[in-house]
Amino acid sequence: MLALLLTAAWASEPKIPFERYELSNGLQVILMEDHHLPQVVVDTWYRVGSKDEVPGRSGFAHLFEHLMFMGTFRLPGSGFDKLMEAQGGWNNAWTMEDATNYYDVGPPNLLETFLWMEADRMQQLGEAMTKEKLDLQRDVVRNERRQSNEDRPYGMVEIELTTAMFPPAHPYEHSVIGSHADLEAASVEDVQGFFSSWYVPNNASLVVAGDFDPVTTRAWVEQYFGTLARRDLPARTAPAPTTRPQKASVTITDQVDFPQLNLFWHSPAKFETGDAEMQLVADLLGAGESSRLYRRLVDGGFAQEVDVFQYGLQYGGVFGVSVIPMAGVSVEKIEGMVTEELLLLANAPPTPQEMERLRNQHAIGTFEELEPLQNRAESLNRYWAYTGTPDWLGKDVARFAAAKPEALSAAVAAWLKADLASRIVVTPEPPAAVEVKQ
Amino acid sequence: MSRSWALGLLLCVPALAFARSKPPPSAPEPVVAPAPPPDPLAGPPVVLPAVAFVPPAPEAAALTNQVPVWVIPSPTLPIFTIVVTVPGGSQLDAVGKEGTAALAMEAMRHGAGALSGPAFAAEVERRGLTIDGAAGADGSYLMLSGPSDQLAPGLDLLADLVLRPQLKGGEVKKARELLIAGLQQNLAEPAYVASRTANALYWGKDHPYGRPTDGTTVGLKKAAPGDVKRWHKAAWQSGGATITAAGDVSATTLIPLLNARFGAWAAGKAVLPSVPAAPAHVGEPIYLVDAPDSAQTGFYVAFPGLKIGAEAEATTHVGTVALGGTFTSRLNALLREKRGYTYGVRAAMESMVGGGTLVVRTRIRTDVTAPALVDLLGELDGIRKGITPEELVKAQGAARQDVVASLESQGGTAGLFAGYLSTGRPASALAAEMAAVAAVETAAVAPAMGAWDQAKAVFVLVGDRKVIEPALRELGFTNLTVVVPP
Repeated sequence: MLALLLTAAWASEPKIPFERYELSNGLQVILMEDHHLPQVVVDTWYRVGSKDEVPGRSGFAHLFEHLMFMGTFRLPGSGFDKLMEAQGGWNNAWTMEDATNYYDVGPPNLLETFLWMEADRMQQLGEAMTKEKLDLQRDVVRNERRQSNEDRPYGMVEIELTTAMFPPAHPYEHSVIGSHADLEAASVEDVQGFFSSWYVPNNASLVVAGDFDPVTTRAWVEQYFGTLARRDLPARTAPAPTTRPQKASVTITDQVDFPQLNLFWHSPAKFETGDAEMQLVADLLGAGESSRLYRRLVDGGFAQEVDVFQYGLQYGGVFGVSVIPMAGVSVEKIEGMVTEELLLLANAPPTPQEMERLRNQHAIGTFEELEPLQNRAESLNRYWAYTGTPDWLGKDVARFAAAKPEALSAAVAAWLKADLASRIVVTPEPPAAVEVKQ
Repeated sequence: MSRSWALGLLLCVPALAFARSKPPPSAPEPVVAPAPPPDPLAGPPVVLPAVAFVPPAPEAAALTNQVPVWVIPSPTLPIFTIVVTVPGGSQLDAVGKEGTAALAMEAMRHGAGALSGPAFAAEVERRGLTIDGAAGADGSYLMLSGPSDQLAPGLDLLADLVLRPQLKGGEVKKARELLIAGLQQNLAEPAYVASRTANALYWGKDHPYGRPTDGTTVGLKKAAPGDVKRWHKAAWQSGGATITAAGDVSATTLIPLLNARFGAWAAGKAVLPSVPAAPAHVGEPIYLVDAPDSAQTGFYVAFPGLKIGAEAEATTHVGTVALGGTFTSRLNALLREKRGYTYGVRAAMESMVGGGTLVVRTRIRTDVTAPALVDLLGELDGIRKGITPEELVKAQGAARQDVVASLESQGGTAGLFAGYLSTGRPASALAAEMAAVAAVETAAVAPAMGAWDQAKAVFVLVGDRKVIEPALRELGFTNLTVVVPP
């Protein structure tokens, strides 16, 4: 059986076959068979992320993700990892602004174990929490911040980006990794409260993917998750739409040899109108060596690196352009060139050849992305979380295939206005003068 | 097994006792509380044995000029990947011109056949194709991926790169500037600096494996367009070349397409320099590279390792996984999960054609660099005594899962098998390796773990010297030498 049914024509609608049902406690269950390889994936998506953190607890959702591996009464210590690794399984997790995702991967004989472990920690992780566990993972997370941001060239931009773009108290106003001070302040009571509030079956969806028997698996899911209690979720209030950044200009110093120019704008929310067009704009400007900014800046000898992205989230998105100039080229000169290219695109749509490239690149990128089983499992959960149905791959591909060149120009004109940009510049400093580090 | 399981049993006992002590029948019927339902989560389920997994074997063929071709068909998606390898890599860089191979591989993609650099890139991207490539110490590769209806035009472009790169002066200059800028960026990363420095110290700065494959700023500046052309002519010959294809392709359709484009690839074979053994390291100092104000210290430790295909490969592999190959490995369990010193630590085998190393790499919080080193040495002492049966089973399971993960994508499949074909191993090599790992016995691992001997290793620490050096000395690490990275 093919897990991903495609025809050779890119414009046709691809589909990931699955079945979905809901337990009485509200847990969404999605089963996706693929017997191509002897492997199963259990992907659990909780609809809680850094946007749900309370003031003074930035980084908490991600810290909590780490704590989910610290053991329960039934499976104490590092039993979660030990039990699955003992049989060739492995796991990982990630946290972003809107969600936290956990996945277990391994041979099919581990499927029942995966389901039992996920249900076990969904039920009793909070009551098994201790200060020792919290302190340990607090240290690990702070090491992650040092490695991913503080000691990584230009790594502090993503920390500064959030306060530059979003107003105080906005759900996206702080970084996912959080501040050292807030991480230090987190308590066991915070952990238990967060678990009790958000880690409930009616706030989660569970994808089982791979080489399994659906009848047996349904029985296991009911057996292990069916008795978990539903709880009311905290009320959420969507923030007012934001179109203007909080800070027009920010300068960071770092131990780097070259400056970096970053320009950020607010942009459409994930999967909402305009999101696909802005992703295609990002690709047109910065994906590949035939993209406009690469040719103008890198081929032209003005820059060594160009990165352009559209990052859609539940309450809005961020569009970014990052450029590292060649030695001797000023960020002002680069900024002028970027602005010219944006104006050019706002005033004249992409050529048919450019649209052909964008559509082909996007189609092949989508299918390559969906090759690994875990990626397919995660995509079903993502579609469910953002659109209300896992069955959205076809619509996702179709929105890119249907995008009109004029719509790309209109999106640039509407969203990427010069006076709506936040400019973050990284400037090289001698090591002794480095700032922002803690 | 678990506290709540025991608690469940205790709750049941009073209920049973109460039922047995109920009054005689003449008395009113008591209300008997029903026994609580069994906890469905009481204990972990029994794990049944894994079903045997036999990996696919490639279809082996050859072009008219004897270039071997392996095809691993998998028509589940309409996409393909093709990898072309040659045995010439950075070992062909002239002394003083380190980076020539990297520069040539970058410049090759800046114009080939009749197409200029920008036109070539536009043609590749317009068709939804990608072409990547790189040079390593033992060889070079180009990898073509894309939709299967673009196979023939993709092969045209790939053949132009292999056989007809333009390597014009202006494109070489542009490629050089990009590589130098990228190198300067990398040199700001402690972990990168640690590995680059350790390789040079372990193998020797003029050894084929000691010279950085991505070159040096000086070497890249000295590598002229003529050097780049000479490198390409020497390295990209059909003798020793291999082609591996995976995905929505079959040998029946692919071989004629390849013969039409690569069949006339001129015979000839790169003359490769000999690879001397690594110099012996006995009781060397700990090498420090100063990275002022760094929040973490980059660790890279190199031990004597194995050549590709060495007899002890399977036993060394499982022992290395137990030491630092998975999340619950000894090093990660101690340095991350128990101490909280790091975000992660890994031990790995770095095996090449002419030799290899065993390595430990991590980033440790600056203020605990010295105690982390003490812990690391303790774990090395431990692993030399061997591993437990549980660790063996875990390592064997991880090895199998690694293969499955590679086979999930066409790129991973082609890359996996290209590694075997390009190093002269048979089509059955993957299955044989998996069988060898599955057959390893616990007692056989300890002898192989003798390789993790710190007395024969090169330790490189890249961090804030003013903080870590006094702390190291205080814990007795007095044999320290400050070095500058190559």
